[in-house]
Amino acid sequence: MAYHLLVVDDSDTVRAVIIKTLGLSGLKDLHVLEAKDGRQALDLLREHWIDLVLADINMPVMTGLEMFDRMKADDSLNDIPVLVISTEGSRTRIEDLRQRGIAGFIRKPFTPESLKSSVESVLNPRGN
Amino acid sequence: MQAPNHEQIAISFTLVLQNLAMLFAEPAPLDLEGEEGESWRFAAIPFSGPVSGTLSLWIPHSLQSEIAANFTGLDPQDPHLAELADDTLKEVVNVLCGNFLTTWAGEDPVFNLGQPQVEAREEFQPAGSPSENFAFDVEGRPAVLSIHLAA
Repeated sequence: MAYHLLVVDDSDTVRAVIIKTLGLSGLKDLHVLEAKDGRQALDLLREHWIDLVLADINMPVMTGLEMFDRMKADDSLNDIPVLVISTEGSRTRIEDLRQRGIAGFIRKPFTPESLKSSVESVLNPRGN
Repeated sequence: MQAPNHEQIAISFTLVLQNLAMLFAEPAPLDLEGEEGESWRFAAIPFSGPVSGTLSLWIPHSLQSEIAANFTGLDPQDPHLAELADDTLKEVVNVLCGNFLTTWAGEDPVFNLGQPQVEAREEFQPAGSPSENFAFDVEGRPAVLSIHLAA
């Protein structure tokens, strides 16, 4: 079964590295779209089927948190899980993200293994 | 909150450089010099929270290119590498700042990071007092990390 992912980060380089790392992780049948900020991500989410969003927080135009809040307020998008990829290390901030309903948190720098584990925990929580 | 020390800075710098760019760094005296005639890159990122300030990094141009090649997986001679080098350095200081703040201040305080900036500089001229500058040897090349805390 193919999964459709959306990678959201303002850095072209970081998006490319995330996509490359997803490829190295051993995850199969991934179709990945890219967006450079929250606004572009919302446009893509309304046009394409997406199973999981991987998003940075700190982005110009529209932050990852604002994008997430808008997804939650939209009946057609509010059940799409969002994994945050960030340098954030504060327990308080991570707990706040979880309270908001973020599906998971991946701290940079990440490895192919940690990325795979986080993605699988959302897309395939029973390990089937 | 006490001023950061070289050990805390070294933990973050070595970890981030190894993980992002597969390069090994070790603390060095603050009298390093780059290759004669080589230009430098200066990257800085502001942070705010219980304490505010700026983390900045000086590295020679050749080291920036190697970091970009290792981070992206591109060949060092790839013509696209130059376009990605500044973007890569912004990501390095972004990750470095987040990691350093947790190492230094712990996991409870909440900090906000600003947008990183990168500039080319002809000469290495770190600002601030010597106690704010921490030097490293990165596989034979110099790097200087500065932490400036706002008063």
